[in-house]
Amino acid sequence: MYPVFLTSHYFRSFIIFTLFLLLILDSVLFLYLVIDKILTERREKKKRYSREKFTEIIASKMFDDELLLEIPKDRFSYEVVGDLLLDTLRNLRGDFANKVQDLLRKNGYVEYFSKMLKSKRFYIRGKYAEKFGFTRLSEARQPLVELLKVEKHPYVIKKAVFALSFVFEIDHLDLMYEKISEVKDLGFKYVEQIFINVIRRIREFRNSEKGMRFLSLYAKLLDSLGRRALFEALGLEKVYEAVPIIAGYANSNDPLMRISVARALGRMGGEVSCNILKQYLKDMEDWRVRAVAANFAGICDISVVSILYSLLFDPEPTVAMNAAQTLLQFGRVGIEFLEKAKRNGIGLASEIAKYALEGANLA
Amino acid sequence: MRSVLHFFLFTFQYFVFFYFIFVNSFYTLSLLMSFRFLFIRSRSIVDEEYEVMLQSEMYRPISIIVPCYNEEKVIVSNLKSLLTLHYPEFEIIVVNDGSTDNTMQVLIDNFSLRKVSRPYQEFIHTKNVKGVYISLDYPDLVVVDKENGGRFDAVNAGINISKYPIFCSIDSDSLLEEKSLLRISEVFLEDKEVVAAGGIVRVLNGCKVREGRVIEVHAPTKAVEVFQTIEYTRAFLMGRTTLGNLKALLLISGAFGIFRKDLAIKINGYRKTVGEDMDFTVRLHRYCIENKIPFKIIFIPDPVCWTQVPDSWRSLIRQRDRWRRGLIDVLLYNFRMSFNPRYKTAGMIGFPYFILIEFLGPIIEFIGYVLIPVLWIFGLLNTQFAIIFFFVAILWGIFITIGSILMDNLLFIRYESLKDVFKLILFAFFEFVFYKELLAFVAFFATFRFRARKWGHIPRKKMEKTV
Amino acid sequence: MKRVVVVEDDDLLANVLKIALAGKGFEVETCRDGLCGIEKVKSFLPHIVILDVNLPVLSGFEVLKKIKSDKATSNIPVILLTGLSQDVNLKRGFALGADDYLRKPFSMEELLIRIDRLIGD
Repeated sequence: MYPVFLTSHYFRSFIIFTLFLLLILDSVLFLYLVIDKILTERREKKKRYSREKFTEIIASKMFDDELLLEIPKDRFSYEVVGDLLLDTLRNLRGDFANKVQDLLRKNGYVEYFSKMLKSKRFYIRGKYAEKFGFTRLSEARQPLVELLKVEKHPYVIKKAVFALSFVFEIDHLDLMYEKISEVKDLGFKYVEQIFINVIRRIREFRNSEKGMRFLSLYAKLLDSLGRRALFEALGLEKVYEAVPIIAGYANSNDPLMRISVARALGRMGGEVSCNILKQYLKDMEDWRVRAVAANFAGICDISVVSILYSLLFDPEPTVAMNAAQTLLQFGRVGIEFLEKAKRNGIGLASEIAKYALEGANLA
Repeated sequence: MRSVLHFFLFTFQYFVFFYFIFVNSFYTLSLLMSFRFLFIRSRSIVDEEYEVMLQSEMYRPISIIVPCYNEEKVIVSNLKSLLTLHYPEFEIIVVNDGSTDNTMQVLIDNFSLRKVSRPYQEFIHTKNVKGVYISLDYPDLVVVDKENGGRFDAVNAGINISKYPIFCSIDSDSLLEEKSLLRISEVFLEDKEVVAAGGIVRVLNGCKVREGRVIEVHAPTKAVEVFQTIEYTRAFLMGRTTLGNLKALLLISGAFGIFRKDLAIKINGYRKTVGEDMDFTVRLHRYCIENKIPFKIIFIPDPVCWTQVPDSWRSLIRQRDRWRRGLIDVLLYNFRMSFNPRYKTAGMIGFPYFILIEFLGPIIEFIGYVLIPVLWIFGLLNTQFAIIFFFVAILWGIFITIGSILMDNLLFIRYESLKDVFKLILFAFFEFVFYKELLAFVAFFATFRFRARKWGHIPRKKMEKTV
Repeated sequence: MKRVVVVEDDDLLANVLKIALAGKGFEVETCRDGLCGIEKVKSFLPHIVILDVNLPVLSGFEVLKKIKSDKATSNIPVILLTGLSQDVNLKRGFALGADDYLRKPFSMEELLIRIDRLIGD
């Protein structure tokens, strides 16, 4: 009358076992939650209080020539103060940054972070490697390099390379490159950030040749995602020396790569860049390449205007709109072409031209 | 007569038990899997402050489409919230779907709108567009004024006018987090095969919001809202841990979806149906397979969309009734996909899942809940049976739910006070008393009402999303 | 005495700016969020505003817009402090009426030079 399995002993044991398991799980979680909440709240309150206290103190100390700061010896406040100082370095440069760095040195943070780099727990090593990098102290270099040479855990490698990108010497680039290629699945954001740092610092070195070699090596051996990140970073930072490297990928089969090339070169300008953009304006394979090229074509000389005019009639509206906006950058000549399109009255092109002209009047 | 009933009851018990055991086992597995996350997490102290440092300096553009209808009282504050997002390159396209109140005028006045002759290309056919407006104050805002056509039509119009390669559509009273936008756009950039991505939906009711940001997470006040919160928590926790890994399997029913614009146009946008999002995703699936386009539809647990859920039993019932009819409509329309190896995992696993669990589930559940009293009335109720049923169907469910609430809290979201968590747990004990039965009931009867559906004009005062 | 309003949510930075500017002879008021910023500018009527773009509650751009659209305050020069370096953000800032901008990390000397450029006599 009832399903056979209901009366089976095994079935019932299974059910009871599962329920029991869940009951234990729930109770454990519950306790964990409560305890965690209480502890966290207490910690947060302490942190907030400490931060407030030290914010006032540190701010005023920055204007003293005598940089004596009574940093408490208890671990908690020490960390809080350290974090505060690192925060400042994020925002300030110059005189104040130097003072903060001095404060970090004088109060033993270099030794403290170095010690943490030797922790057995990977998360600690990573976290403090990162913090060390944020200090931008030259003292961080050696410990980070030592760490990288022997580190195997990918999380720590990521953080350490990132940290090193703030303070590296040109000779460290090979090591950084080597370790980074060991790590799979780096993530776009992360790679960009490292590149931005590296690129920023490379310009400080008088020997930019080695830097460029590093970049071209990187570009060759990275996967396409990393390469695109690299190019975008180079473009944003306007590293003109990298134009030949980027131009080398202009004929890539991957439209996304061509887009990154266009964006990078478009931000930097120059004849080589312009020629590539002109080529992209005629890219038949992917309308997005045309669109991006049209967006940045303002870097070109006046000869590009006629191509832009023809793009007003492109079947893709985004391409046409970008072309219209860029035409505005060419002053009288560009405006004349827009008026021509508007007068011609051929559907979308005419509307787009009209819209662009209207926009110019609004501005 | 009695023996017929006997026979029916006898066979049906199997269905009921198997169903509950299967579903609950699945949930239990997810719970155990997420326990693993917790274990890993607990070993490390997450320092969120420095995550900020890694915020990308490079953004990816996205279009956010906000269909609205008769929202003159709330549209301004809602939009202002959305517009405060610190995202460098995005556009918000508000589509006024032929409101009969002053919504349009309110928009014009509050956002310094100016009509422009911005080209509108009708890639997807929609009802007549009366005008396109830009805002002098908010360069990211575009407003489309059109004739009423229903939510799906409004979104299609938004797609037509959008200028960025990816879009998502949300209600005006939903909130997105900045990190969500970054995360979403990243996903499409990193893998060019991704055509659609789904994020998490959380219940906004009861939370403290300031200027478009949820600053304090609270449990809602009304019972109906609390029950829904519990429901969403359980569903999404499972989604995060298990279904998230089974990529093209998930049909992004509900959650909130982010899609590629070019493909949206190829499948002619949203269809006039009640289950818009799900239908859209399923057709996307079909299109890609039928045209041999390599694609991925993924579920990413990070982006969160905070949504208002129905705050009265009546509107809840109406919503679930609509969802139910939508589900059936989608399943029928795309029926050729089921058990069809041509559609790979979606056809062989995804679709069957939806048919067996999502569609049949509520029916079986409903019958299950009715079974006990019926058996008792006929004097056929065996206490042993009742106990086992109780354990398998009800107690197990409660433990799972409580586990999900606790796990969710430890892993993902922090409620402002533990009292809120306790409240949720308390309500979890009573879910089976009324809430579950109600939903099963609505779903059960909506199945039959499906025939009697009437389309026509769909005036919405609150845009609702399918889950 | 020239008056300055600093709208910056980072406590330490706000404090440093306050003390630094006070040390150079300015009368300084600070705000930690956008709403306070708008109020303060309206009531304090400073000679210049230092405004962080990434603020809680109300974005820096919102504040900028409010300041520039109100007749009573539209003439007050505003220097934006920005953490992001995209061209789009800068364009937007200038479109809304910002007078200058500084990218973080910045040096105090630079800030003082720019303030001087805008309101020095």
